[in-house]
Amino acid sequence: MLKKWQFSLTITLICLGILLSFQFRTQQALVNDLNSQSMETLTAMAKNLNTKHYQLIREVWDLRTQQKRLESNVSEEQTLAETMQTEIAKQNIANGVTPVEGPGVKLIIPENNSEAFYFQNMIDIINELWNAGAEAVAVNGIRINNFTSILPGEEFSEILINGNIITYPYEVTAIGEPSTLDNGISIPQGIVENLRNFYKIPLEISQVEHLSIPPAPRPKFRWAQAVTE
Amino acid sequence: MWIVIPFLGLLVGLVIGQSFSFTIPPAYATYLSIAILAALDSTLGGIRGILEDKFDGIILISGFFINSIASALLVYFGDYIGVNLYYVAIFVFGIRIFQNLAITRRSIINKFRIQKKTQSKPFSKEV
Repeated sequence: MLKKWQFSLTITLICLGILLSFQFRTQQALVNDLNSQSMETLTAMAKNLNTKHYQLIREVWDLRTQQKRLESNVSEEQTLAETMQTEIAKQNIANGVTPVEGPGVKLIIPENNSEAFYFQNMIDIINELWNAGAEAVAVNGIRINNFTSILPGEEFSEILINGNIITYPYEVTAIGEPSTLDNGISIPQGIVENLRNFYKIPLEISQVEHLSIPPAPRPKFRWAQAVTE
Repeated sequence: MWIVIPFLGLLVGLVIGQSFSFTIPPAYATYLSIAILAALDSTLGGIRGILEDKFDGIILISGFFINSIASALLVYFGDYIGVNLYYVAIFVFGIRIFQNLAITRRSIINKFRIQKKTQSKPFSKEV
């Protein structure tokens, strides 16, 4: 059984313990508090923070220049990619492997009694169209490009284009500046004039605002090698 | 044996204090330190009272709390009026602590001596 004095003393000592632990904790906080730091520690801390500050500024500067360099690289590559794409598109148009559309002229050679129109006339007409500045030419829906062959068929009025037989009516479409093409073909002493007046073939030339020309099959290059400079 | 239970109480108090999560703001640290001095003084006074058989539990507990609060208030009031009573309180309580400590020491040594004397001469009265 607890003696009388032990009880009071225990309670007192418990309260004393609580107070002491509070004091310990407050003291710890006080020692670490910035106000009570010595001059030397404070100057050392200030110096440290300053050097870190300058380091960080330098790092920001380096990263900014790096970012600028990367950005300019990206924009260079972008313009390069764009230029390449436009080049490829142009080449494809020139090769005739992509469908194209635009304004141009349409030549119709209807069925006629004259026996004078044959494959050579077709070649001449196409020739004159190129000469007049046509960018794409098609005959009866077949695209004319570097690999197209125009040959006579079995009958006189037949023409073989790439091995396909075509007959009247012949429709030649060409994309380019319409009036230029028209004038270019219809020059006096030109093929069209000759065919019209001399051979009495009723050609019809019309300027069209929107023409659609289909593509030719893609050529395969097995023997030809590009010459790199 | 009689001293173990109260000191266990001290340990329990320390543990309880550590488990509290709130801390006194550092501005009030001086008041807390003076309250601790007052508490120490009361405790040592209590121990002296035990050894002199003049112990009064109520005086101990009342003295403990009232002295702590009063001394903290005194120091605060001193800051208010501009007189630094902090050092006064430290001085006074310091003196009292050492006085109580000295009397306690004497009491323990005297009791020890008397015990030794009665042990070595058990039948002194009977002759």
